[in-house]
Amino acid sequence: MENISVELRHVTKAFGEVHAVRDLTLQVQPGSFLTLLGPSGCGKTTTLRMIGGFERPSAGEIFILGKTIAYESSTQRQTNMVFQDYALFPHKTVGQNIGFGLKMRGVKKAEIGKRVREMLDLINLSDVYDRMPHQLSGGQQQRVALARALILKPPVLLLDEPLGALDAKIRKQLQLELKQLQSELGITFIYVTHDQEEAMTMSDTIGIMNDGRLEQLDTPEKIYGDPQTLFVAKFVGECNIFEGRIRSEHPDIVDFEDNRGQIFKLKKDSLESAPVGKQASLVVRPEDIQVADAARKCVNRIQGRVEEKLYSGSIVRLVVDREGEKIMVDAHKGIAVSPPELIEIGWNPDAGSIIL
Amino acid sequence: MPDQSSFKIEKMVKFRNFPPIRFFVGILPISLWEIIFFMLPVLLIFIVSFLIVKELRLVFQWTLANYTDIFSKTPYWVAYVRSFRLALTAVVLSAVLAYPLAYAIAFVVPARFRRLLMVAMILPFWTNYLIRAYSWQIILANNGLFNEILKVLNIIETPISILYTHVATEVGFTHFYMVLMTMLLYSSMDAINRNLMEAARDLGAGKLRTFFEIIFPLSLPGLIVGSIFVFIMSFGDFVAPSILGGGKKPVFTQMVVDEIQGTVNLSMASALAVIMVVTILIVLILFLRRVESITAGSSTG
Repeated sequence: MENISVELRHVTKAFGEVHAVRDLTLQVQPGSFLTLLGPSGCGKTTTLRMIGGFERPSAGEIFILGKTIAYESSTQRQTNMVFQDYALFPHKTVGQNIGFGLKMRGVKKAEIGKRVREMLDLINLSDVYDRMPHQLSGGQQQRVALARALILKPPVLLLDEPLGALDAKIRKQLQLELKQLQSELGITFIYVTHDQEEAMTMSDTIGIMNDGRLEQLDTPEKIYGDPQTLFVAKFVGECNIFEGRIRSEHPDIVDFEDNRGQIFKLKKDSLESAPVGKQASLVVRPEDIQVADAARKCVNRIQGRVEEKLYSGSIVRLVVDREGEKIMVDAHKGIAVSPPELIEIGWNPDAGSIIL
Repeated sequence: MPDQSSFKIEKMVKFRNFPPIRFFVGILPISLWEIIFFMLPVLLIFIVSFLIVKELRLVFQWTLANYTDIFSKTPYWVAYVRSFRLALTAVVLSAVLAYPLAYAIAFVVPARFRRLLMVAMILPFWTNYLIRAYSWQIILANNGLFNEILKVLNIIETPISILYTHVATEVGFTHFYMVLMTMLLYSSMDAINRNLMEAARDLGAGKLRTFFEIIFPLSLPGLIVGSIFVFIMSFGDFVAPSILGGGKKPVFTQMVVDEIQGTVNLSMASALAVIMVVTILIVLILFLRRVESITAGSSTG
């Protein structure tokens, strides 16, 4: 038990008729960065609030360091929360805000002052001790909120879309700082966001949630490269989905036949079993598809007409029409094709993944 | 911290700065209204208070006699202190009663009943003030509802005289102005971000400490503004003291009325009125400063 920081066992939360979280089971390793990612209303915030002790699960159990959590406010709490809107006490100075938790624990004034200054140094805001929260910028307020939660040295820190209200540049910078801080302090972070890019950059593990269920719990690489459900494939990044069935199975390779009867080969390693004949979807990321000359060497090839060519900085997005089916392809910006040219696109067996 | 002191100075300058005249052009209609029906009459009263009345006529002869009279004669002072004390008591009573009520509406009652409760509370406020005062007469009289109930319950044998004492005045004040206090308290409590309470709880504060550390300080602006309202209304009220309190122990407003109706001494009445206005202004300035400092978040113990 002790090598698990947070554990949820079959946790369900219902608000009246609405199920916010359904039968959620997961484990978080100590010192790791878990992100719960999903669209709004998927139950990620409710899950976080249950771990924080703000909501009681309707069913199931939650353990923190092997102990069930305390719902009553007390100094026994094992987690601290960073709120989406920071929730800084507007009538208290920055120093009083950060020192609040220590004050509640009856720590002596001098000691509080010392530790607050240490925290302020840690978040690079040493000169705002006597300021009021409203005198700070959004990014500074966010750091103060973080310091206020971290000063209690919780084994688990909960963060509810903490960067949601900030503009893109500060956001990127704070993402980096948060990640560094987390690895420095070795605290378990449970982070909630709907921003997939943010989740990808920061997390050790991502839990994708949809409609109250945990769709997939994996490393960012696996989530992106080997999605287990269609929802995950569509939610994280962009993808082309071919509907069809599994045609046949070979030692390393699986043959997938799409609804038009074309056969695509792909590597079997991501599939535990390949039930022949079963309906399935083939997911191919736009950047895994080759165009023109490079496509000719690929195992899986498709003919199509370039319908659109959209520039987005370093790459161009081609929309290729395959008799009514649109396929997105990301190519190098120097690519010499233009609509309505007929081209060949293709990918190799290690690119796609099958979702049963 | 040079940063902070410059911030404070900037704020003080702002506070003292009178807006430029062009600012008032857009609000000219309402400004005119204010000037004609408020500022001019007040100015008139101010001027008249320095004149004297001879044989029921105002005589243009500048004097401080009215003021020296007021400051030297005890009945005026007694009435002034009585008014002040009654108004302060009304503030305390309505705060003590309104605070739990506002708290309950803001934090305990489910959201869907909140509006209903507010309406239920405001409704009596829309009935005529005189009618409400006379209703209290019926309740508080020696053979009134209150005494009758106590008699039926065998708690008393002879009625307690409440009506025509300042206890009745206080009942009136508190009933009439508590609504204001409750609404102002409620609005400042309702504005408190609920996450603040969760944050306090998250950091280990119990219910009581959350109240004293978070809710109470953040509801102070409502409490102070409410107190100002209740004070001003009670201090300047003439109806409750006359209808419920009787005239035996006159309050300051009754002295004003007496000067007009009884001795027809307009200048004396004006001088009394000026003293009332000045009192209210002082209270207003003292308390509003406090509110300013709280809402700016620069001082709370």
